[in-house]
Amino acid sequence: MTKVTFLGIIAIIFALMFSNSPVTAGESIIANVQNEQGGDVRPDLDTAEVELMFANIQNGTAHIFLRSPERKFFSPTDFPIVEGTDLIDATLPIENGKATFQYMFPIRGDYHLKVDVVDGEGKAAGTHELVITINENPEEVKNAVIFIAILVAFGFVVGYVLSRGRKRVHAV
Amino acid sequence: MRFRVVLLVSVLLMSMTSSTVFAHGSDQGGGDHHARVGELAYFEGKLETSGQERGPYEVQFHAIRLEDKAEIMSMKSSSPDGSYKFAMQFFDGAEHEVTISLVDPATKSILAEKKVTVEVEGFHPPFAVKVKTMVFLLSVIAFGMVVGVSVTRWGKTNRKWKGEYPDVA
Repeated sequence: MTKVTFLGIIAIIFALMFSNSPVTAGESIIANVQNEQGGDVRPDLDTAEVELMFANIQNGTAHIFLRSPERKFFSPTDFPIVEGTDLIDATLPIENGKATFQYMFPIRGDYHLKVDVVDGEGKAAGTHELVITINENPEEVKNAVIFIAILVAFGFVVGYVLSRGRKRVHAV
Repeated sequence: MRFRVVLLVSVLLMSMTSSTVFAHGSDQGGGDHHARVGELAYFEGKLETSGQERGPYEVQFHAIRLEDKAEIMSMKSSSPDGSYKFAMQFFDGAEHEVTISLVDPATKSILAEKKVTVEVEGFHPPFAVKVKTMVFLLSVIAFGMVVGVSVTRWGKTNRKWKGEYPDVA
């Protein structure tokens, strides 16, 4: 590997690192996601309260665009059609530095929330991008593990019985 | 022959399990508004008050899934004259109800309200997703079968070393 190639790879890695840090870009906004019933937010089950806290704005409006997690090759979700699509396009009022809404997130993964902020005087106060992570329902993970274990056991029994059967045929 | 029968049963079992992905699809009709899973549904209009109240108003949006009364989304916006505009995606192919309320921000009393029933068109998962799921589940069964066959062979080898199988020899 030449020196130029090596430096080029390092430059690409740094560029990717900085381009994939929307939370850093949105430091003046903090997104707090809570389950109204307590505990973690489970997709397609719990209605979460999303609270956006603005450090520099007390009153104004926030235009929000929520996009669902992008499709991943090895882990399809319960709603494949929803993956990588727009979910919400709405304008919320900012009151006392906060804007809130309730939403049931459909699938697990990293949601991208783009927020266009306008202050109380009607001036644009920047665009911010946040990432909201929703984890899979632990019950569904448990059920998936049980299901896969049953399939492995089924395969094991089938393989064991068939190979024993072949042995007997040869013996006769 | 027995192997083919078992393979056929396995494929049949996989076909049945993959159909669980379709569970949320339904074709209920009769809604005021039509929406499709995977696309934003836009709501735009203006609510008029019957009294002498003047803006600005608070506009509240509330969406519930009718089959289980689950609250899908709830948010508020402000409007100088009662007009509103927002968009959301209905991720489940079931009937929903969206309530849009015009609220007096001072007294929090509802000045006007509109209920919209939304018929959502669901879709089957993409073919590629179904194939991937099928391949994954068949691979899991194949792994179990390989283990099962390996255990039989290992046992057979052990017994040969111990001098069993007089009929085979």
